[in-house]
Amino acid sequence: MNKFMTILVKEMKDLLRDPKILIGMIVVPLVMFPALGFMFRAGIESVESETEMGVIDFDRGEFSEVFITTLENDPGVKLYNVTSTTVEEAVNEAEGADVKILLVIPEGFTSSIEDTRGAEIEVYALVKGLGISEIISTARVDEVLGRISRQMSETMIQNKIPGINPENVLTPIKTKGFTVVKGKTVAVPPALIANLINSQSFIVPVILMMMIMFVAQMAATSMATEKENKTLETLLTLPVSRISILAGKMGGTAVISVIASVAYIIGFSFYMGSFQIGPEVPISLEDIGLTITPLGFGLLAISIFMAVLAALSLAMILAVFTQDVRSAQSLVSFTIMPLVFPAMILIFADLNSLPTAFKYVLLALPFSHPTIAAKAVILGDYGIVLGGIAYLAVFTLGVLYIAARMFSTERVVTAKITFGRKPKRPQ
Amino acid sequence: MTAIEITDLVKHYGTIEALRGISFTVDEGEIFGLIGPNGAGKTTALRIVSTLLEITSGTVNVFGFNVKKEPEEVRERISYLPEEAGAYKNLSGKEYLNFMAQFYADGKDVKKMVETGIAISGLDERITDKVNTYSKGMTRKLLVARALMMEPPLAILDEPTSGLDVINSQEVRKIIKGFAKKGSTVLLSSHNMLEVEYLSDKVALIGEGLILDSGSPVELKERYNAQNLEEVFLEAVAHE
Repeated sequence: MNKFMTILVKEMKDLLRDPKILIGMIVVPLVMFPALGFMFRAGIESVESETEMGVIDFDRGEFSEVFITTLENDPGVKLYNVTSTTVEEAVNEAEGADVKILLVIPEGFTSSIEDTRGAEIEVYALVKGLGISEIISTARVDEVLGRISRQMSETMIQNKIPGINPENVLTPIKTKGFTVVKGKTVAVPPALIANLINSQSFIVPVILMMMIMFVAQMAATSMATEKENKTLETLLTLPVSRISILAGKMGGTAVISVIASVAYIIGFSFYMGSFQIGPEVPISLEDIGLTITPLGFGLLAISIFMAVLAALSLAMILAVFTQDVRSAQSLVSFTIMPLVFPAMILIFADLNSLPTAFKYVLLALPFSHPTIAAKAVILGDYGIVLGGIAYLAVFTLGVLYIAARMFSTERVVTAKITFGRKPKRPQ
Repeated sequence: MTAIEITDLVKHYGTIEALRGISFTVDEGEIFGLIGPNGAGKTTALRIVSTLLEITSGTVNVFGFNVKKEPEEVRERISYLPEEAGAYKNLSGKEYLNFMAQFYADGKDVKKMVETGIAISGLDERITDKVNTYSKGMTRKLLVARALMMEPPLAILDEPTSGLDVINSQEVRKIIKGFAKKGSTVLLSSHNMLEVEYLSDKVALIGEGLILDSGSPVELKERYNAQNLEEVFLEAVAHE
C-alpha cells in the first residue's frame, strides 16, 4: 500500500470508529429522520382515513336533510347522529362518543337558505389535545363544508334559473395557462413550471449545504484531533511527503463525508416523503423538453465536487490554526456558514432577478455556483455552469495551494488560535 | 561518522529568542543528552533536528543532510518521539504500530517490525485493545516502541519518561539503552538530570537558549567537582 493510501485508510478507520461521527452523522440520520417521518405519517393517516363527526339537526328541513345525506356519503367522514335535545347535552354526548367535531344545524336553517338570507352551522371542535390530528380534523371540516356549500349553491341556481350551468355563474371567468419554454409552447401555467424546476433544483442546494458542512466539520475535526491528541508532530516527521499527508487526510475525510451525506439524504428523503400529501404536479420536465443531458449531469457533478473540495481545503487550513476540536469546529462554522447560506436564496429567486450588488456577491461566493448550475443545466445554459466551474477551480486551487504551503512550513505546528485560552509559550 | 552537526543555531518565535546560537555534534552510535530546565530550548532544538521547525539562522546536518534543504532525506533516517505525544485513540495498539510501520517497510518486513514493536512495548495481550483504554504509562511505552521498532539510524526522544512512574520509567530507560547497543544514535532531552546521566554517553547543558557546557557525564562531574549532573548544572549556571 502506498503512503497516501496508508494515511487515507487510517483516517477512515479512525473517523468511522469515533462514536460521535458514527452515531451522530451516520446512524442518527438513518434512524431518526425515518422514525420522525413515520410518526408524522401515522398521525396524518389516523385522521386522513376518516374523520369522525357528530351532527345534530334542530331544523329537520329539506336542506338540513340534504346536508346530512351529503355528509354521510362523504368518504372522508364517519358520521355519528347525536340525539340529545339541547346543545350542551349534544356536546357531552359527542364527547362520550369520542367524536372530534360536532356540527349543530340550528332551527330555521332550511328557510334561511330558501330565502337566500344565508344560513349558519355551528361547528364545535372537541379538542382533547393539540396534536396534528386535531388540526387536520378542523381543516377537514372546512373542506367538507365548503364542498357542501358549493353543491347547495349549484342546487339553488338550478332551482332559480332552470337550464343554466351553475358552474358558469359561480366561476364566470376561467383561465387557461400557457408557457413558452425554449421556443416550445405547453398548455401549463408558468407557476407550475417554476414549481417543477424549483422542486427539481431544490434538492441540490440542500444536499450541497449538508455535504459542505459535513465535509468542513469532519476535516476540521480530523486535523484538530491530530493536534489535540498530540499525534500531528509524529505524523509530520515520518518519511512521507507533507502533500501525501494532506491528500490522505482530505481523501479519508471526503469518503466518510460522502457516506454521512448519503445517510443524511436517505434519512431526509424518508422524512420529507411523509409530508407529500398534496396533489402531484401533472407534468414532468421531460414532457416539456427540459431534461438534464448526460453533459449537464457531468458538469453539475464537477461543480459539486469542486465545491466540496474547496470546503475541505478551507476547513483544513482553518483547523491548522486551532489547538482543539471544539475551537476548530467553531472556527469552521463561523467561517463557512456565511459562505454557504446566501446561496440558499437561489432556491426561491432567480440570480438575474436579484439586485446587482447581491448578484455579484453571490457569484463571488464559491458555494453558490453548484446551486446556480443546478437550475442552469435544466435550461441547458452551460455557459454559466462552465464559468462557475472555472471560478471554483481557481478558488479551490488557490485554497489547496495555501493548504499545501502551510503543511510544508512550521506553521502547521506553531499556528494557533484558542478560544478562551492563551497559547502556551514554545519551549 | 557524525550523526548530528549543529552550528550556531538560532531560533526566534516572533520576538522570543528560544535558541541563541547553539553548536554541538553527536557521533554515530552515541546517546547524547540535552539537559536543562523547562523553557531552556531543549524541545525547540529537537523539533528543528526533526524537521518540524524552521531555522532562523545557523545550520543543522543529520548524517550529512541539511535539515532545511533536504528534510525528506533527514526524515528517512530519524524517528521522533515528542514529549506530549499521543496515539490514535480509536485504533488498537497493534493497529497503531502497523500504521506506522508501513511508512518504513513493505509486506513481511512490516509484520516483523510490528512484532519488534509489540516486544518493545511489553503490552502483551493488551496490544489488541484500543489505545483509549490504555493508562498513560502504557501509551508512553507504545509510543517508545513505535519510535524504536524500525531501528532508525537516529532516534530523537523528547523527555522519553515524561509522566511515567518509577517502574515504567526504569523500563523505558532499559529499552533505550538496549536500542543504542545495536548501534543506533539517540538524541534525547530531559529535565531529569539523573536520568540523562544514567543514559547518556555525552551531555550538553542548555539554559536560556545557550549551551552552557558539554562533555561526558564523568568529564563534567570532574570539571565542576560535582557528585551528579544536577550539581554540575547548578554550578554551570552560577559560572554564567
